[in-house]
Amino acid sequence: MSALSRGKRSPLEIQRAVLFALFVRELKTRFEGSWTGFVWVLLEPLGYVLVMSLLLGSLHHTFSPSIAYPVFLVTGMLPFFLFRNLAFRLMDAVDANLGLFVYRQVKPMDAIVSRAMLEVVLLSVVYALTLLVLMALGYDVLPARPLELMGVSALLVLLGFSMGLFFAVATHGVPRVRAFIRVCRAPLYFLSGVIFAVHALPEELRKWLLWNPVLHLLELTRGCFFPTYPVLPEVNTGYVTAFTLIFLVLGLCLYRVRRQQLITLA
Amino acid sequence: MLELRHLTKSYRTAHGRRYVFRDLNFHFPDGVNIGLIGRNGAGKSTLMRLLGGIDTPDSGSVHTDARISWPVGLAGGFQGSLSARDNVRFVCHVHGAQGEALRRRVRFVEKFADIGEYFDLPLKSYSSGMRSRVAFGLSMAFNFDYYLIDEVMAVGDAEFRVKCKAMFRHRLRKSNMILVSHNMNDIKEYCDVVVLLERGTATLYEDVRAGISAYQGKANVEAS
Repeated sequence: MSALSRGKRSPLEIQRAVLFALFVRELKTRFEGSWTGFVWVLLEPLGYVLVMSLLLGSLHHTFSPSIAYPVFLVTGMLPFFLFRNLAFRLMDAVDANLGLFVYRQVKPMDAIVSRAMLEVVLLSVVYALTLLVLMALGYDVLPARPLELMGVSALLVLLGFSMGLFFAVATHGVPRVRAFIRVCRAPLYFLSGVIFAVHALPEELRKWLLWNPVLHLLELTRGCFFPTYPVLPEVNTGYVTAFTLIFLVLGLCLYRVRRQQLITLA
Repeated sequence: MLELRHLTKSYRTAHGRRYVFRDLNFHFPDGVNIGLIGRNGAGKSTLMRLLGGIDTPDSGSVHTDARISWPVGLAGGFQGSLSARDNVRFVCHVHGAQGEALRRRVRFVEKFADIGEYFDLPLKSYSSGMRSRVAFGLSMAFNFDYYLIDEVMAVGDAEFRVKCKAMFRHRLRKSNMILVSHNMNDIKEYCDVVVLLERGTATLYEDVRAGISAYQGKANVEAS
């Protein structure tokens, strides 16, 4: 007897089967079927750390001598990558799976959620691995407040997902806007305090930078890692939560309105 | 049982809302193979998408207790950067086939498509004939009450057509199909009745020849 004729599956079973199938499909295409792609994902952060430590390590030492620069960098960079991959990669999740929506079980939201799952799993592995490498090199990398760190990371994932979902739905069929959003990736990297400590900047500048919710979350992350890290007093979890919820609600509403258009090529 | 009840479907275009169907009621006869014909833009593909559960009607419903396949066509159903094998596995996962059931289906499609080592190469490198072999074989790997077939056989070579015919004869003992085609020979060969779509209405012709001549007669009149 075939699996189909064995009777009806419950909605939960179908949902799980679809997410699993899409997850496998995303995993297979993410590295373009080669081991070099996989190795690159693993080693990219370490390469960055090496280059940046050589370039900026001594400069950093004059600002906050209590925290070793590689550790400072990693605790900013990996959470940032997690956010970045979610916010920007989810944008293309629907288009990349366009052919698969002929199966009535597969909906655009499944494509977005399964890609988010893959990015979270992938970046978590890279995050842990990078910290382990630093630990093996003799740095102190264990977070001082692990539970809080998990909470902050969860908020970071939700922020990335909400923005990714919103971008995916709002920019569907307008590739020019998409290209513009992609351009914002590099400046965001510098404006989020990944490679330097923001508290070293003048106050007038900081005031503007604090509009960026990712900066808040990176500050909080570092606060969870290092007991001595001077988290900016203006950092506000409420602001980030509100920002996240606004994008999430907008994204979900727009998805509901445009769910039919999403499955057709614009 | 397969019925359209007060079905309305429209699309937004640059020139405003365009209605494909407006309050359409139609009962598909049971236990026969149905040929769906009509001019380009008559709504054949839209109807297939509605039957396949991809699109939802603006109002009204497709009412059925039958298991209906996805629309088997050349346009969709595949992820181009994956191989045919991976695409087949994907569809098996989605339809709840696991383990031995999954492997059996993959072997079935591989054997039916008969495209050699291309089966493990990315689908975007396939010719349209190879795509149609995989698309058709994949749909035949599952049991449905209705197969929605959209022009897949039109691009196949002679050998593939023979194979399709044999496969159909086997499958159609228990199942039926709804075939969209502009090739009237295919319609004559496989279908027991014909449904002609025009201007948002559906007309059933119990006699295939009568349906075809109604369609061709109109096409000729409009051409002249």
